[in-house]
Amino acid sequence: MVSEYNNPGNSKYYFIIALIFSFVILIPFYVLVIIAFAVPSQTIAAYYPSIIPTKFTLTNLMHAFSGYSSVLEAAFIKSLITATIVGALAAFLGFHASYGLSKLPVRLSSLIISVLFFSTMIPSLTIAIPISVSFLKAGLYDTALGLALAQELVVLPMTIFMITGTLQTLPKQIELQARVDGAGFFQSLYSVIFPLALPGVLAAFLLSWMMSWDEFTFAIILSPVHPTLPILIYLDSTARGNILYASAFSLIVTVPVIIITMALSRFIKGNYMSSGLTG
Amino acid sequence: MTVKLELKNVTKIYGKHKVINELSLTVEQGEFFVILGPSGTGKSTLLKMMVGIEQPTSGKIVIDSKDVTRLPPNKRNLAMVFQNYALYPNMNVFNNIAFPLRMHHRTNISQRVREVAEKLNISDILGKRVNQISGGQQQRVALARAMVRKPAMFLLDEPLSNLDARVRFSARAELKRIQQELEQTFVFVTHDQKEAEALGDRVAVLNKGEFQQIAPYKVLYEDPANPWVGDFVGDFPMNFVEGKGFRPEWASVGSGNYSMIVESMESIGDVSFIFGTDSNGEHIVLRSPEKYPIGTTVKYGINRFKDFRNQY
Repeated sequence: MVSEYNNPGNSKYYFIIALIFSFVILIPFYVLVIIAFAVPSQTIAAYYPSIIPTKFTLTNLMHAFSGYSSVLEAAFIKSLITATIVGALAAFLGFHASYGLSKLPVRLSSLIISVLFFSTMIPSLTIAIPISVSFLKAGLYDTALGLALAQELVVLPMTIFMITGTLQTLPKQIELQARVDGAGFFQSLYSVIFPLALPGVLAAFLLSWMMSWDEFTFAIILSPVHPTLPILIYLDSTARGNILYASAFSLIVTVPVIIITMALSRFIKGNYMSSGLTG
Repeated sequence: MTVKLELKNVTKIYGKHKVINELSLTVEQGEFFVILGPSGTGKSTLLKMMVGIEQPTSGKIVIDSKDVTRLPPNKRNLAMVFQNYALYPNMNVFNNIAFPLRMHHRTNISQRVREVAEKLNISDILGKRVNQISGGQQQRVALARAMVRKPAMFLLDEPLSNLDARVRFSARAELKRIQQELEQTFVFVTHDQKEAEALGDRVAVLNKGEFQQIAPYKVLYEDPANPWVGDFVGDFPMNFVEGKGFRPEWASVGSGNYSMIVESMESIGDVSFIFGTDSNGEHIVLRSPEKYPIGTTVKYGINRFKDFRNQY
């Protein structure tokens, strides 16, 4: 499948636009890294902080870790568990819900998806409090599972929207062919449809994972005793005004996101999906 | 094993639209059976009901004296080749062909796949991804996947229509050879007359959800059951004059009791087809070794005709 954007004249402009976008995203990250690793005299204490620092130090990181190591570790693990539950649940529920929706006429499935989005239109804060009351009764308060379930509310409509889009691009004949070739309903669903929907499912997983990773509102209300990373940063660093520790923490928050994005990105480049089919 | 496919009064209704209307049909074991019709006449729907993807609204489908009307496709032991081949894009050629064997928990998968690949001349591309091979090869892979588990019957939905003209011609010949080698039943759906003529032992002409005629192609051409079949079958529609249906080659041009005004002409080799209109406004096609300029009046005689006077 040849993209119409592939002619060399155009790609130059795309390169320039990509460069601009990269700057917009990378410069704040660069500043974060500098503050985390440079000595204070060159960054926050300097009248004009230098863009290219000459002295590097691990003191900020070490202070951050030594001061908070057990809390930090606990928060990191809690965030990791919560985000992974949110991502996995979103991928699992999202795939099955989307499969059902993809069988409906497009007009009806689009309507259902927009109704699903209603739940995200309500501010999290207004539903977080009633949820926390129910969770207290159910024993889910301050647990990773409870928090993950609440965050799932925000994430799931988007997930379903994404995976349904992927499934709708698959030719109907593929599934029919699998049935004719002897696959039962579940066999065709898991051994044919799922691998083909994988780019969409992984993208949905990644997005939900990241949304959970830095989610704040539900986290601060539903899990304040044993906080997640964003809450810890807010409570112990930002709120107390130590920007050095805050940037060291922020780096810890950011690095896993980069790792997981890079690990999954090659599966998400899904243009192999549409190949091998004509007509 | 004799596998016979029977349709008994099969009807399919979508909403208020009757796509298939009370069709009955028997396909014999080892027959190459072609279903021919213009697009949108329910050919594919018919095939989908045979394979089990769609359920008939009423009527029965019987394979080998067993009523399969309500059985899902994976319980019918049929193979199908779709128009777009529906190869699994996430698998390579080998795994595509092996898929039906795995689903049926067969043993010696590798050996069987290689055997079929050998037969279809695709042994050298087994390791390739399906998007790395040509359309003709994709068609062979789809056919290999259909053949690999030795199904009771093959259903093919316009499998040649996505191929280039040149490849299509050889693929057609090969399909016929394979069918004769396997001695198995093929049901082949197409809108292409040439395919119907070249492949079909019998051809069923479908229009508006009903069979107009079921016969060998030669019979359809020479003895159409009704004017619609005469009009639809053949490179040129049958000529109709005073309720007499005749083919271009059944008339002699130059002299006779009939005449028409020449409107255009097409020469193929030594023969010219002359298109014109007679005094009643009927469009006529004649065949002649000679050329006639546009605008001239041509006389012709009808040597042979199919009498439609009572149906017309």
